[in-house]
Amino acid sequence: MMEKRLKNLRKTMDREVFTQLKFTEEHKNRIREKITQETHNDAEIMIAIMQLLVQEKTGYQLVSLLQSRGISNFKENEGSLYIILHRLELKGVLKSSWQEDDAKFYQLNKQGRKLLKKLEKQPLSNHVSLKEILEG
Amino acid sequence: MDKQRNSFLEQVKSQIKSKEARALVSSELHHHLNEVKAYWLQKGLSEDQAEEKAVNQMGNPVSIGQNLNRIHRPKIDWVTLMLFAAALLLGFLPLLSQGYLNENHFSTYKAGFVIMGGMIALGTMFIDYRKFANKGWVFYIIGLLFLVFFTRHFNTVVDGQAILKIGSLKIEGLMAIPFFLLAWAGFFQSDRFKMWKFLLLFVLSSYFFLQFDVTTLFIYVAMTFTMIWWSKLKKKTVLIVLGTISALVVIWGVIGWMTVAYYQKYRVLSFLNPYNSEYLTSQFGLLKIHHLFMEAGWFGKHSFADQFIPQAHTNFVFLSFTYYYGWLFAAILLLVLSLVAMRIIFISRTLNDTYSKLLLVGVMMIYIVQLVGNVGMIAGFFPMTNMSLPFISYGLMPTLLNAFLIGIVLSVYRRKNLLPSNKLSSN
Repeated sequence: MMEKRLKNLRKTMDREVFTQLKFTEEHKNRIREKITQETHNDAEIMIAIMQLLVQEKTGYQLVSLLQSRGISNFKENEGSLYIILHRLELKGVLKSSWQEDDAKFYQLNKQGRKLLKKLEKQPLSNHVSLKEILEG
Repeated sequence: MDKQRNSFLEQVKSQIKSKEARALVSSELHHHLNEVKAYWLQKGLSEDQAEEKAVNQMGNPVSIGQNLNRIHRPKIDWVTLMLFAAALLLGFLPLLSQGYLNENHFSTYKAGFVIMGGMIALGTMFIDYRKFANKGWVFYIIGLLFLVFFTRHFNTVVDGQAILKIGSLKIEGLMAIPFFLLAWAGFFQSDRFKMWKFLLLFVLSSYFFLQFDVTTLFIYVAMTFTMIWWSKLKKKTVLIVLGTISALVVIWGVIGWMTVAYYQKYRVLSFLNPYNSEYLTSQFGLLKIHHLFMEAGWFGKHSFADQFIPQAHTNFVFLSFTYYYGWLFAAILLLVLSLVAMRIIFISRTLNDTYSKLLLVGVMMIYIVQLVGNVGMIAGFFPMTNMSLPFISYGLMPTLLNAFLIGIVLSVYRRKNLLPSNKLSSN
């Protein structure tokens, strides 16, 4: 009985859902990109973000600059940058200000510059304060 | 045209519980989408294509929303809440010991106070205190009106403390403290607040505080002087001004000595010279207090026998508590009450924004002055005045005041991980 139902479900799925699902050229491209992309580890990204935020920037400006640095982790995933920015802000290493057009600018504060210096000196792995930030 | 964008933003927002965070995240992402769209329009894409690209570049709205929610969800500070509950429960012990439990209305009233205190603390927790940041003037005026009204209409004086009695409700000057806490926090967080304004407002309010009771004035001064240190005024100017005020107060104190009532003089003298028998012949003095305290031993007397402790459930509650329950319980009591103070300090150190920090510094000071002052009366390093032991002393006003303080701590903690509201206050 149950098996019959499952078979029916499968048939309907094949008929209704999967026919609409297309594996387009775009999908293929995306997968190819992901494969060839050289991935940067979290610590490298974090340091790059912090280096860029020595001067005041919005999230949008930051994404473009990160991409020109060859960090493509935020490609098609730009929203996730704001997760990192908000975490850094709450950890008290970033200050922020809202300016016209609802633009929110971020910049390292004194504590943030201190942390950046420390991170730049130390080997990337096993950095405690960084782990804290990344894991929220 | 905006359909895709709206559905994206709605999906992000649906994951975020905090209303404030939701609005701020949404406008930040909105701005980002606008910028990306402008970029693609410039590259020659059509309006619709640019919009679609901008939204697609954002990534998965649900996972973005979930992560942001994890960062910005309002939190309850269980540590403070548990300490608060423990302190309130310990507050029943003095009543048990004095047999008040079945004899009269004290225990019913106490239970009522505790319930009201709990409600005030929890109620304050849900109020967004940040809305009050630029309302310093409002609170100052309310506080001042309260004081003016009070100095004109108080109808009872107990031990030098003016009290407005309405039925069995006693209103004390202490009730003005929260208004001035919010007033000064509001003033000090502003960049435009000037020293002369501080002097004017401070002298005016202190004058009215002085009208009814020195203890409340003391709490007020301690609170204000600590808070100003975290203000945006220059530290050097603050030091000079506070130094001058203190010097003036000393001079004024010497002159004022002639005018105070006998029992006040007696208290000050017996404080300066506690073991001088001249002042201990008839009154309850430090010698007697220390005698009772030492007699208690680790586990207490569990009876008052023929010992009489005046104000045993208010000002001398710590002594009566120790005498009855012993040093061990007294130490536990002190530990719980000190942990509250330490918790407030700990939270205030994690804050980045001036207003919240000012509030917690003020709260901490009001609390610590009461705690240290009350215990200090018994230890002998603080003059015997009307200083209640937070949560333990019997009385509606002190209970409500301290519950309100805890409420502010809970409210600050609850919102400390929300987005900074500088956007809200600048508009």
